[in-house]
Amino acid sequence: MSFEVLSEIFTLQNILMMNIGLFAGVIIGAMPGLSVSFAVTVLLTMTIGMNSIPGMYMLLGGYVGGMYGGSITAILINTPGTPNAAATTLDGYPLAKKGRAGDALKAALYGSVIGGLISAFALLFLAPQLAKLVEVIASPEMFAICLFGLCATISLSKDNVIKGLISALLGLMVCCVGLDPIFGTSRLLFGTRSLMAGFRSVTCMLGVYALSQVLFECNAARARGDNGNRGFEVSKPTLRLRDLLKYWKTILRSSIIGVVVGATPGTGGAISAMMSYNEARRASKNPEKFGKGSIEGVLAPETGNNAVTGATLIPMLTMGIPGDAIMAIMLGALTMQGITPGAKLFSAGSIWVYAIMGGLIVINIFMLIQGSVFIRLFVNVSRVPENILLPCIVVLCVMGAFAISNSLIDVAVLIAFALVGFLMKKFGIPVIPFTIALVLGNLCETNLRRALMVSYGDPMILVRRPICFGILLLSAALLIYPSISRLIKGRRSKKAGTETKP
Amino acid sequence: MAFFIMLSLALIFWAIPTQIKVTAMMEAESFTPRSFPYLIAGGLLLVSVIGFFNNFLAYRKLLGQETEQAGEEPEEKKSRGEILFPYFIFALIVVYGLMFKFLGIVPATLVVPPVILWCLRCRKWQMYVAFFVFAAIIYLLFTKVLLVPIR
Repeated sequence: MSFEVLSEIFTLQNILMMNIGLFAGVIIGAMPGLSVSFAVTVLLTMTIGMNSIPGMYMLLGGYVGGMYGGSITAILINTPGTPNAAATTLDGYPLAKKGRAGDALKAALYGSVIGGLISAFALLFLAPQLAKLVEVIASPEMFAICLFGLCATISLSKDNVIKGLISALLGLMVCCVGLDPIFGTSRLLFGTRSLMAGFRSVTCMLGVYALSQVLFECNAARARGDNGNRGFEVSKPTLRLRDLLKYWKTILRSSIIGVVVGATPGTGGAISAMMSYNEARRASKNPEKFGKGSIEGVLAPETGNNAVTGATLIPMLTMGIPGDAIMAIMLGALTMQGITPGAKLFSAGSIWVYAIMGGLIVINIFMLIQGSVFIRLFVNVSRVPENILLPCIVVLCVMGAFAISNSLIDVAVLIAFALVGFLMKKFGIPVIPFTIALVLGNLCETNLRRALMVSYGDPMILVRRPICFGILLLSAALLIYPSISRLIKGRRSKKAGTETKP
Repeated sequence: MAFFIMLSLALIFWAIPTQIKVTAMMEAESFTPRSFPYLIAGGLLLVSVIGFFNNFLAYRKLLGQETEQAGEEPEEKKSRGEILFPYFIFALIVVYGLMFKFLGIVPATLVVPPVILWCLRCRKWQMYVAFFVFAAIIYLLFTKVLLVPIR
C-alpha cells in the first residue's frame, strides 16, 4: 500500500503540478489585496480537465504557497499579502528596517515549512482515526455537523452575526435553485433550463472570490497607476537553520496551535497566526523584544498559519465539511471531479486519500526548495503594478468559467456572482458563510430530509439523539456567544466609565 | 436590511409558490420540495427583521452621539467617480462576456481588457505587451493543453 501511494505521488505530472501550484500561490499570496482563497480559486480554473490527484496537488500547492507568500510583503513593505500574514508584520517589518529582511524571510520560510510539515503529519495520523468515528454517523448527526460548520463560519463575523446569518441563508437559497434532490422537481429556475443542475459552486466562488476582487481593487489600482510596490531590498541572510531551531519550543507550540485551530471549522490561518504570536510573546524570555524586530516574532505566526494547512483538510476529507473558504473551494473542485469526501474515502481501500495526504508533505518540502532558490524572484514579482493584474484576472476567470462545462451560462453566472460578491463586500456582508453554504446546502437539505423521512416527519428526532442534540446546542452557542460577549464587554466598559467619572 | 426583508417576502409569497410545483403525492410528504426553501426564506425574513431593528436602535444611539459631538470633522468621503468606477469596470466585464458570446474570445480579449488597462491608468506599452503575452499563454493552455473548445 505504502509503495503504491509513493508511486502515485512521485509522477512527473504530479511533481510539476505541485510546483506550479506552489509558485503561483507564493506569487499571488505576496501581492497585497489578493488572498489565499483567490489563489486557490484562480488555480482551480487550471485543474479543469485534469485528473483529481494532480489537480488537488496544484490547489494544495497554491494553498500552502499562498500562506507563505503573504509574509513577503508583510516583511518588506509592512503590508500583509494575505490576512494570514498580518501578525508577521509586527516583527518582520522592524527586522527589515534593521537591514535584516533576508533573515526575516528565511525565518518565515522555515517556520512555514516546519508548521506545514507538522500539520501534514497530523492530518496523516488523525484523519483515518476520525474517519472511523464518522462512519457510524447517521443523517441527523450529519445535518447537525453541516449546521455546525455553517455556524462556526458565521460566528467569525463577530462584529455582526446578523450579516453572517444573512450571508449563509443567501448561500443556502442559491443552493435551492435547480432540481430538488429527492423528487427531482425543478425549483426557482424562472424558465432558465440550463440551470437545472443548479449553480455550480465552483463558478459561483470564482465570481465571488476572484472576479469580484477586480471590482474591489480597481480604485486602488487606478490610484497607483504604473507604480509597483516598493520596499526594502532583501539582504543576505545570516541566520542558519541551527539558529532557528534554538526556538524549537516556539515552533512546536505554534504548530500545535495551528493544528488545533485548523481542525476547528470556522477558523483559519489569521487566527492561528495571531494566537501563536501572542503565545510566543507570553512564553518568551525576552518579551520586550517583540514588536521591535524579533526573529521569534516572525517564526511563531508563520509556523502557526502554515500549521493549519493540513489540519483544515481533516474535517473536509473525513466529513465533507469545509472548515474555511479555501476548503469550500477545494470541496467544490472535488465535487466537480466526481469525488465525494467523507469517511468512505478511507474505508473503501482507495489510495487516493493517502496520496493526497502524503502529497501535502512533499509540497512542503518543495516549498523549502522554491523559497530558498526563487526568493528574489518572488520579491520582484510582488512589486508588479496591480493595474496589469486586474485585466489578467478577468481573462483567466472568463476562460476558466467557460472551461468548467464548456458553456456560456457559466460565464454569465460568473459575472453575476462577481457583482454579488462585490456588493456583499461593499456592504460589509461576510462572503465566507455564503460560499460555505453554497457547498453545504445540498448536503444539509438531503440529510435533514432523510432524517425526517426516518422519523416520519417528526423533527424531534434532532433533539432525541444525544450526539445530534449536543452538536446543535454547540452550534447555537457559537451563534449566541459573540452577542453575549459584546454585551458583557459593553457593560464592563460602561461600568469602568462610570467609576472613572468623579 | 429592508432589501432583505423585501427579498424574503418576495420569495415566500411569490417565487417559491410559483416556481416550485408540488403535486398531490408530494403534498402527502412531511417535507416537500418547497419546505427547505420556505425554511430558508423564513429564516432570512426573521434575521432581516431583527437586523432592521438592531440598525434602527444603533442609528438612534448614533444620532444622540452626533448631537454631542457636533462640530467634529466628518470622515473623508469618496468622490462620485470613485464610487461609480467599479460599476464601470463591471459594465466592461459584461461587454467582454457578450463579445465572447457573439464574436469569440480572441476579438473580445483584443478589445476589452486593454480598455480596462487604459482605465486603470496603465500608460506603459510594455504592460500591454505583457498582458497580450499572458492572454496568449492562457488561451493556448486552455485550448491546446486542457482541450477546452474556446471559440
